[in-house]
Amino acid sequence: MFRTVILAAALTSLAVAGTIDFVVEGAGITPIGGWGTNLSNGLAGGVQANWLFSTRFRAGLGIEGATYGDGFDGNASFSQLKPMGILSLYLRPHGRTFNPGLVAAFGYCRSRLSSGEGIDPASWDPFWRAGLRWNFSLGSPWRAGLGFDLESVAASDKSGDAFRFTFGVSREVQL
Amino acid sequence: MKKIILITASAVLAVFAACDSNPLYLRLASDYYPVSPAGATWEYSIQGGGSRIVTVVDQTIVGERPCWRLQSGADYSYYINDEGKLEKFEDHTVLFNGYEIPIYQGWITLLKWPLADGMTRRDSIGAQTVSQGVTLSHTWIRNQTVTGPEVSPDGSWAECYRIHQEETTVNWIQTAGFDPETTVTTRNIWLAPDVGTVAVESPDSVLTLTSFTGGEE
Repeated sequence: MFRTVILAAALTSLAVAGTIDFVVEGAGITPIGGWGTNLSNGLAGGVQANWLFSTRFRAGLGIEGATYGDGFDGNASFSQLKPMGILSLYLRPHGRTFNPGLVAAFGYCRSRLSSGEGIDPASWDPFWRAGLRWNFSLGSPWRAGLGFDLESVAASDKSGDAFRFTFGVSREVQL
Repeated sequence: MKKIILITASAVLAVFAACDSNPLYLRLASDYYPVSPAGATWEYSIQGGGSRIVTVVDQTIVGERPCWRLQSGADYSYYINDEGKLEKFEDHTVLFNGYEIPIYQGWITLLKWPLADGMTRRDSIGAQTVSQGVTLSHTWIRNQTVTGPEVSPDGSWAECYRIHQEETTVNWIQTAGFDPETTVTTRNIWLAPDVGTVAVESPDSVLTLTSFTGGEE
């Protein structure tokens, strides 16, 4: 299912020309539900290309990397790589100071743990994300967005849930 | 354009087809060496006959630190599982003239969390004391290697980590007629998520967990 969504988004983006919104985004991540007990909060960075179906509705592709350090004085590190398809809806697309939006993403997450020179087998699992954005203008053609997301990596036996606080800068480009 | 789309789609499918999923988040969220609450009990069968019961007795203070006391037969051991590591109170003695002379007491880190395949750890103690005018020296080195995740030897527990321990002890009574005495002990310990030790294999014994009761918080 997730693979189909990613492929559909990829094919749609490649097949149709129009206006593309390029986004560079960073985030602070807090694990929820015990899996982050021995890890620190995480930092994430990613890029996205979103095609504007209409002024309000966008669909696109993105990739994000996230890393978590050791929660104490050890040398564990945990990383995630997330290729994803993204859907977003903005309610006031030309609002200068307040353009609220809803964002959802679906994809796959590669998770990898290293600790004390050891490395656990990496795991690829489906993941989803949903969140809110407060989008505003930085002066044409640049815009920025603040927001938060809940995300979940649907791994076997135990999901990897997290809360993200995110900030991104975007620019629309006519193709 | 169609060729590019087809090649991209094939590459994406090939990457996903090669992807493996495993319960990494379960392992991260699990306690692999629970030493609390009071009342938690592990019962082991000993290959060749007999059993061994380990129970969390209570919380106490040892070496000025609050810890959990575990009992196995007449022996007590003390653990702290906090701040990303498991510490054990080591109480080492040297046998001299029929007496067990205390030579080292202190907290030593046993494991650091989270565990991962290939993780290694080395801990050591060097101590000496004087008894009846004779110097006793004690050197203790423990090397540990973590492998896994794997299934326990009896096949009952999945997502276990195996800890291979090699302990070398050198005791030397520094007087005429005594040479340094070296002892090497190896063992494999399987730890299961939220259960703890489920099997121990050493050259002289094999222990297998037969029942586990978690105790009450």
